[in-house]
Amino acid sequence: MTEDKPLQDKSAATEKSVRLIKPKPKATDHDMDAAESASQVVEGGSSHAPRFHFFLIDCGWDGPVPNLIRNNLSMITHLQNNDPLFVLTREQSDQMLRKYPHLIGKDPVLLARDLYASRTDVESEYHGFHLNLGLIKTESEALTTLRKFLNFLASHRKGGNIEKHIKEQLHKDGVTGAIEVLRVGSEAMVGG
Amino acid sequence: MNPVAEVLSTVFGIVLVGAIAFEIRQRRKRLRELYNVLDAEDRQVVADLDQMVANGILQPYAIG
Repeated sequence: MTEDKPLQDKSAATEKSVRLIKPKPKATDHDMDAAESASQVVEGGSSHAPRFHFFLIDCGWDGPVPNLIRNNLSMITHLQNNDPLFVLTREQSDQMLRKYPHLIGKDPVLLARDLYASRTDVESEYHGFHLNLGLIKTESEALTTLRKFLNFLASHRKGGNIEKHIKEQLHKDGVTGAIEVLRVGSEAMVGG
Repeated sequence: MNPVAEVLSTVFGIVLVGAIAFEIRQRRKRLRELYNVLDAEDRQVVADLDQMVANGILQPYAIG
């Protein structure tokens, strides 16, 4: 491939972003698209400081929702400016859940570590947020939620106070949020 | 208006508003469980993950 040579000349940080890890999930069409995208970023030299570090904590539950996230891993980096995604192995995930039992039953957990938060305010107790996909029962709901999550991150990645937007838009706080909660609930009832 | 009907209307209204408020609270609670902010409770989880990245135990997922 023609991209191989330029890759060798790039910085260590850039090389790190394309390094293979194990276990390596099966490649999909989405993977191929994301690979092309990653190559374009490297070739274009548009390296950037990532806003987020993504982590996937997944103990390996067998079900449609866990399988859905495993099959769409590349979409996360692809849609988030190739911010790094760290997939914990089953053993590492088990260790995390044993150490932090409040996460049990919520995995697979997609955790978005907001690096901006740690850089700007060391004292702050906001560190990012996580999507608890294990709480979702159906595949379609999981896909909708994942899309919403990625859309939200992509829309607000350049903003400073993302926590405020989380409360307003994802937690539906405030009067507008309450109306939205009722509206969505009504639509769900009408739609069956 | 019949006083009994007035009382019944008031009670019904209060129950309705209460039910709506309860429903909103339940749905917000579910949203918070889904999209949970990493706060003080998760500080150690985040610290552990950061440490694993810093130590090279975790490497970025890559396609290939």
